Amino acid sequence: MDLSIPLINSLTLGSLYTLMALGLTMSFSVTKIANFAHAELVTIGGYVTALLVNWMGYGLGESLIAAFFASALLAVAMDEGVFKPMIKRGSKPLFLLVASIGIGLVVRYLLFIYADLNAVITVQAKTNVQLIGRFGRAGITTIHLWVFPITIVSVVLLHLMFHYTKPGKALRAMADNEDLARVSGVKIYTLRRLMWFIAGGITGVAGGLWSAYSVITPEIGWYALLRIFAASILGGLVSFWGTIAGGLIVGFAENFGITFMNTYFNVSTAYRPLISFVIIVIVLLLKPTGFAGFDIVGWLKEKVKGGGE
Amino acid sequence: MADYIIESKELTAGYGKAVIIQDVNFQAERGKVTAIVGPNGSGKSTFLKTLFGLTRVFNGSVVFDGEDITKLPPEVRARKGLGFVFQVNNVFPNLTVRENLEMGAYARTDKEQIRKDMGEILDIFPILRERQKQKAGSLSGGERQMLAMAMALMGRPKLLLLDEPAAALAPKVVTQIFMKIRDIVNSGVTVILVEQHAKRALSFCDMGYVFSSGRIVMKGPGKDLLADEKFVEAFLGKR
Amino acid sequence: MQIEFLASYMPIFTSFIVLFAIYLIAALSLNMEYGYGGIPNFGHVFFISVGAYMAGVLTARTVDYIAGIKAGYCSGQASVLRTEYLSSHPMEAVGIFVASLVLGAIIGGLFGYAASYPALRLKEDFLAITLIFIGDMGRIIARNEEGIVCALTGLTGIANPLSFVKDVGTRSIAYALIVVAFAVLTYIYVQRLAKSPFGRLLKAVRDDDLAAMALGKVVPRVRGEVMVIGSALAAVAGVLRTFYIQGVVADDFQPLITFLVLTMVILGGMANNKGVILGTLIMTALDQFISPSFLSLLGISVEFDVTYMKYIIIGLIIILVLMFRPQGAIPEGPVETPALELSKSSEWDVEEKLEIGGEEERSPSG
Ligand SMILES: Nc1ncnc2c1ncn2[C@@H]1O[C@H](COP(=O)(O)OP(=O)(O)O)[C@@H](O)[C@H]1O
Ligand SMILES: [Mg+2]
Repeated sequence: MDLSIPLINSLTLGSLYTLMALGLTMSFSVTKIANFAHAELVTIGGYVTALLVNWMGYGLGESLIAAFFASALLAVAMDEGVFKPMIKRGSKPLFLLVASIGIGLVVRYLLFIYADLNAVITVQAKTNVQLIGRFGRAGITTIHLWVFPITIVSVVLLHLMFHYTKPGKALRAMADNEDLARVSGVKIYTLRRLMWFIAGGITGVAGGLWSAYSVITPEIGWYALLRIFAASILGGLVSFWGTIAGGLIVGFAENFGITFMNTYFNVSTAYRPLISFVIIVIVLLLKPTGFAGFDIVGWLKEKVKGGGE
Repeated sequence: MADYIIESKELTAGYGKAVIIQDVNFQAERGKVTAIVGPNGSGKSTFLKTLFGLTRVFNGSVVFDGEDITKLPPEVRARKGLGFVFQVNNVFPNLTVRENLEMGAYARTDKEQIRKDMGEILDIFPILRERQKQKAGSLSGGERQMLAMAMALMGRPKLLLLDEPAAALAPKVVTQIFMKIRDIVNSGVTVILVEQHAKRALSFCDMGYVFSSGRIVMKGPGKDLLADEKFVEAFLGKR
Repeated sequence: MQIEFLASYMPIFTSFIVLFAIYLIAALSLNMEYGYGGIPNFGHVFFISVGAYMAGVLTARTVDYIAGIKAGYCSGQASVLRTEYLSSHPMEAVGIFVASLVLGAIIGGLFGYAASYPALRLKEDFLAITLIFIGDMGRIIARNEEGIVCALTGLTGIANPLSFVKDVGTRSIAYALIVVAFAVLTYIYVQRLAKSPFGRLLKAVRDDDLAAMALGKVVPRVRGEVMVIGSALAAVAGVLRTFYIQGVVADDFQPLITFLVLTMVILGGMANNKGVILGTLIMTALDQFISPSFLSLLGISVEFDVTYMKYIIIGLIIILVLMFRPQGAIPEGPVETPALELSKSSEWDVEEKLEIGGEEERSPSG
């Protein structure tokens, strides 16, 4: 069996899921809202990218930047318009989850109407895709040259932000203990806005990349949401490196898992989503904290140093 | 007239619809230690949180340094010179010890001075220097309490609220902690100390308040309270 | 003239009543799980679909067997033959209907029992996440398996148990009455349950796990029971739906159905069955009247699929209710205890108690 194709697919999708899941993990860890409207941040990013590329003739790079801002603003608007007022009124956490479902419905079906009127219910950003090389039987295209570097750069930038900048550290502090952050002088509402902006933005970029990679619909975000949650839950919904590992695991498990099941057990590839679902159930039931608390970086350092100082 | 750094007037506050503290008139003199004692659940922590704006105020006001701060959010109060060491959850477990200390100085902008303070604080709490790169969640109870106080000091507060800093610690550590608090007071910081251990607190403080069921039931210089038969009978029991 | 006019609207009316009654059963069962029990069963559509598939599979397989239909489970011809058989064999048709209801409820209950495993172990929001996705996994399986409900085509020929009644108008009114009777029974049942010691226990478990823990091993059992009963009821709603639309398609059971039913509960008022009736009435109306066929009846036409509007409105209702009136149209009453009954009848002032019991907490941050 040649594994080059599922390998490349896994890496590509794994990267996209990672970006999307990092957005979800950020917003969950800081606000404790399991945001189902996160799906729509993916979709909006995808549509903005596809339409700018196809209708306006923009390059993919510029369109992705626009997608970043579109989803970033949508994320901030969700929080300012719905979540924050609800929290101030003392809403129960589960109501915030339900409200996020409501937001998701509104955004998704507004987009459906728009897409229906403009005949773009299915759309793909028509970029000039060129084959630039081969890895086994799998083709490496210009799209991969966008996906991998953007993912790596985003992860590095986020890591630097969270560990070497004041707002980044404050966000981690807020995720740990909001009241303590407040009494330390953190302007939590300003930071919260910053967090939504970045979380929404990277999710939108991931959506944009997806629209260049394959056809999208107004439901693409909902389709991705299961994987995003699976990836985030693997990171305990709070861990940065855990989420990255989670995104890749989901990407690999889906592609290899379904290829394997299809080849040897004749299972239809339509069952692909079940893999993410099983991951969610297993992690939640067996180890709800996922990889959180498992200090990957520390562990690696230990290995390198051989455990000594 | 005494110089009060903070004062609450007819303060009534709580959580949601629940009123926890009622009609609290409280003053803390600048440069002194004011202790608050009372049984578990009497609202001591709630009162401290109310001074910092972390509860819902139904009535009354809080005046800090001559300014009415009742309506200000906690992050602004922190910038005005209040510091708080919570009773529980008083460090950021997933941040390193050093990052915790940096968070303590979050509201400050004087980078040079922060660096100096960091060095000094690490001298005062040598155990923290050793553990700088460790996550705060991995510290022992006593170390965590030290870190929490060190964090609050990094904010250079004028007034420090300490909520049961010695609870559930080994006696040796308790002595250490109280020595640190004495140092803090000597360096010019006003301290409000909440303690369940009334004898310890009242012999330590200048002025003492006794809370019961969300109200102040007695006040006076710590030594006087300890000598007061009524107080001893009601709150210390016969020992 | 006028009678004719009325007659032309009669089908719309009966279909509205049937759907209302079916949704009501679903909403009451969700209210029991979520409103009273605090279990966010946002995979409700899955349990409805279990009943719906059950009814389809049982009917089709049984009829194919006893009538010797060899045309193939999913073929159009089999569908025609089944309908013919069922409309000419009233006893068998009714028998299969009753068996479907019973088996549907049992299987639904079993799935509910299975779902109570995570329900007892997961934190509220993680449980909600899991159940939302469970709802969709069932559909993904059903839409890919020929053997259940014929994958994407759907299973047809599940004739109405009353199809021996030749007059369509009479038949649909009669079936409507049956469905309404089920809804009424469900209402009486959940209402009695809510007022029973079990209902009070449920609320206690919901509001305060710790207090309920004092009751020992009761909590897991209570939550498990609620999931079983609630899921069985949801499955009954599914069975009634299959026989109403005379077929079953996997893709009808999107997570959106859960959200529609959830909106009924939230809009009406959680843990208040009367409120849920109101919520269901409003949402069924929305569901029915914002449809291309109804709008074209009114001479309205739009350039896009109007069902999109429906979901936007559902979303808006969810958001607005949760933001501005989280207790719903009719708020939850106080816990009915003998002491409260007593105080109602005497001069005692219970206002204060209501204050404390009714509202949810406000967080201090703000
Ligand atoms: N976050 C909260 N929400 C609601 N009630 C609270 C909260 N925190 C404390 N309480 C209640 O307030 C009362 C006083 O608690 P607290 O201020 O912690 O007392 P103390 O510090 O004197 O032990 C207790 O009855 C407690 O149950
Ligand atoms: Mg306390």
